[in-house]
Amino acid sequence: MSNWREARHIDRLVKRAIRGDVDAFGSIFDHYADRVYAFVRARTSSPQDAEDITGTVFLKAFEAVSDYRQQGFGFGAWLFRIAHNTIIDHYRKAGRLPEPVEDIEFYPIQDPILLDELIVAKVDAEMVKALILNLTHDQAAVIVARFFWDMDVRTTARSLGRTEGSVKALQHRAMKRLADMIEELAEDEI
Amino acid sequence: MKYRERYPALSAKVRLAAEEMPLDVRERLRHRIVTRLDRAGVRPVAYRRVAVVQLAAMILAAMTLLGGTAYAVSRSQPGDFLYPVKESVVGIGRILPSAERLPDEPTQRKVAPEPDPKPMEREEESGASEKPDESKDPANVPGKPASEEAEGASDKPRGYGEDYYDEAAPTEDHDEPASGQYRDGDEEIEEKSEIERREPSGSNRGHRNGYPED
Repeated sequence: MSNWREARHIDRLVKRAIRGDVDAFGSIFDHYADRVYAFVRARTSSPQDAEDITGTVFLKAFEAVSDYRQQGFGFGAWLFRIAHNTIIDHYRKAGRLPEPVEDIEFYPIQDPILLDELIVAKVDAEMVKALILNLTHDQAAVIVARFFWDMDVRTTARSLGRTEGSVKALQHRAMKRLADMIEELAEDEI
Repeated sequence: MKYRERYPALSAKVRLAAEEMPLDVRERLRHRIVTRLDRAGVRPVAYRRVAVVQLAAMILAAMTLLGGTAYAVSRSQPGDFLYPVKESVVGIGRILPSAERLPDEPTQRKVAPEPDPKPMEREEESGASEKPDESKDPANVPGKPASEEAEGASDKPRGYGEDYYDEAAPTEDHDEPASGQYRDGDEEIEEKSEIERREPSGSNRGHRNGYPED
């Protein structure tokens, strides 16, 4: 399904959900469940927690779906923001706050990521997933939005309430950190 | 250049790191969410809120528009776009029966009546039979001393609070203090007695303030 068709389809489902159509919201769940789960799973080590948080995200979304129109960006970005906030709430309630966010404004993008692609090829996806858990929450959110949800920089910035520059900086630092960790792992293996 | 183009291997690995939801988890979660939404009645709450907000916004917008139009109509001058509306409203007002023409309207009773001679007449009717005639000797009335009769007459007039009350007076408020009630009547009587003093007649013996003169 092309992007605009998908957007129209989602729009129709959202309208029905606003009128209280639970089945339409079920279709929305089918469409976004994997992405939300992937985001939550990238930030939680327990599958059970991920399942609970994903459920909470969709319940919150349904309760607030009538406010969606006022946000001014796509439903996916709006849902992503709810997921982002729900994960933060989860950590707060558990008494374990996410790692403090680095002030990215002081880290301009200068150096390219120096990483041997051959080394990366040796690392499997499971390991990368484990490494993403070591990123800060905002870095992980940007990585998930850009690579799991295929969101552009502008939409990511709007859904996270940041500027486009800060999103680019966060992405750069996240990738650099991932590359560093992969290199360390590769050196250890050697 | 995008990261996925510059570092395809890393980007691909990151993309592959996205964990898919297991099918059983998906089914379980979907069932749980749909059941909970149906049971909790979240739907009507959300829908009602939207409906109430929309209705309130519509009413507010309609009131604002109507109020603004009415204000503009009332302020319109000849030649203005809304002036014909103002004229037609005034015309309708003329056609419709005005409030003063209605028979049961209280404004009709506010029309000032002509001076009513009732108090004096009544006084004469009721008082003349009981009052001692000046031509007769009070001592001739059996069983009543003349002094007592005179005292009673000067003490309190007959029909005090009733006879001298002008029924045709503009006010019908009976709760008004007695002093206020009789002030108008007294003034009228004073005027009358003055006229009578100037033009004395046989039938009217010149009462002052409604009381028989001694």
